[in-house]
Amino acid sequence: MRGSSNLRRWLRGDGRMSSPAPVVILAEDQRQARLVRAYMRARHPNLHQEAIHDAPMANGRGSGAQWVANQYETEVRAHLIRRAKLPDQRRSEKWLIVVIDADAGSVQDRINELRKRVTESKDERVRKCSVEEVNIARLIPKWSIETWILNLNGETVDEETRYKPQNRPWDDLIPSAGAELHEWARSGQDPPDQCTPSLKLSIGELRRLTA
Amino acid sequence: MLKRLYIDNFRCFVNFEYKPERKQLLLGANGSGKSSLLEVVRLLKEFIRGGENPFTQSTRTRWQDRPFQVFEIEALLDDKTYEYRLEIRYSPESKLPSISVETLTASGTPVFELSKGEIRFFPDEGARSPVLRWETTESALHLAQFSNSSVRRFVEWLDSVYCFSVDVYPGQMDEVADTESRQPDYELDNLAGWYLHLIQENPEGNANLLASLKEGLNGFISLRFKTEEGGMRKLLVDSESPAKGRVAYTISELSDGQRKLMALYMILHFLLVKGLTVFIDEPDNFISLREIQPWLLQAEAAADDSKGQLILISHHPEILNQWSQEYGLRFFREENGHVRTEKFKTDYEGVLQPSEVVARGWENE
Repeated sequence: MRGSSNLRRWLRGDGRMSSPAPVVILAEDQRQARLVRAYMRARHPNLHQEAIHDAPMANGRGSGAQWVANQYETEVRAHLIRRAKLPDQRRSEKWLIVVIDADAGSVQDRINELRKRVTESKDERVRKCSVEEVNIARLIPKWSIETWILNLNGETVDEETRYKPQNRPWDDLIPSAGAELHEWARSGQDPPDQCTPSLKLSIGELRRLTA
Repeated sequence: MLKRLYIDNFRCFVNFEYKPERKQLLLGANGSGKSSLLEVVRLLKEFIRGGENPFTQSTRTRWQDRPFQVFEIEALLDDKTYEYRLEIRYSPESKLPSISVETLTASGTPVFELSKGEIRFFPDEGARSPVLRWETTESALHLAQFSNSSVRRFVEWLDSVYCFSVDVYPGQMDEVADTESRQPDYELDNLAGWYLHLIQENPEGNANLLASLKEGLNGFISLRFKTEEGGMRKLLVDSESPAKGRVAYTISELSDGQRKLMALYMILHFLLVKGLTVFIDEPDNFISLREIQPWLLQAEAAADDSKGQLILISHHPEILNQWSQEYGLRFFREENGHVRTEKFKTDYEGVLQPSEVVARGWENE
């Protein structure tokens, strides 16, 4: 029935193409988005592909991180509009997952930048919202998502090395990385010792998402 | 102008009312009934024109067991409201359905009436005709157009309501005109024959068409017919490029997109400019992104200037972003049941583009 589609329904596997997508990923590029999708598939095996929608990506429009930072306020606004239309008990069904590299700064610098985008919004609803409380997860790899992909595939990595330029079968490594991310992010257990600091912080963000 | 269409018990339409605007974008998921609406218009045209009855048992709504279908058309023509009603009855004993009611009123006054096996004509001059017994499986309305000018006006108008779903697959469009075609086909596969008719009937429209194609098609010079053996005329596209010089291509040598663009500009310059009602199913198919907006802007201007009616079916982001906010009508089906419509609505104005809202399935949520 129109209007009753929600994440739970998608999770039961009876969502349809025409049903509203409950999860939006705002990412710099396809690889980041694919890791999130792989994680979501591991977390919710019945989830349809169509339940997750990728927001427009930079696709050559300058720096991917800059693009995500610029789009962040727009996506938070859209997310809040959507939540506001739902009764309280259904608001937790809508998720916004943001992926943005920290690049030269720290993960905290990036969180501060995103926070600034929200506090400087023209929209009062956005300014007043606490993103931690509205099912928004900010996933921030230190240099790039490739560090996490290797880390989740059992390789020893550090957050100073740039792994992205390495010739690795990145796409093949993503499904297992997503499944492992789900294992590490399961509530009630600590991520393993080899988990990089930036990934550890992001796991905290993923654990906040509730359906 | 088409003001209203009512359909009951036809495919996915049950007690369905459609009130088109002058410009409208029909959007919605696949299978939501948009193209079926065009099919109804086409079948009613064919039926009222006096062709074989296209309505059969299999066109009834699957999950209904009512043995009759109802169709109504309301049109505003020369400040007069015309209301046409058709009831088709199916019986298990007969393969062919019977027409139980077919009526037309003009400004509320009956101008044609077929009901309960009796037919009545209302000639312009003279007294009412006698009531005649009349059992039929086909439309009888066209019989009345010779004696009643209102019937004639309505029938002629309906004949000038066009529905298109242009099929540009290679070999689909005839490149040879064996005869002139006064009417374009639904899929425009008689493009050459129709164009042969149009260049004689409307040279001004042809000049405008050629001007548009010069702008829209790279290297385009002109269209012309070449007489083949046996007197058949082949439509050729003269083109010029620095590398190849002047070359004449047949229609089938053009790309799908080039054929589609030609068809769209023909519809624009020969039909839309005349203030007609035109439905086009997915005009954007095969057209490159850069080519959509110029055509759309010209088509809209032509419909505005001529007070015509342009109804598009599209999923294309470019068309959605241009038209959905103002002219969007969303088709949907609840639990795969009847077709319903509602004005396109987005709560994300100024935040997300309409096409992005649709891509997320968030419209009218």
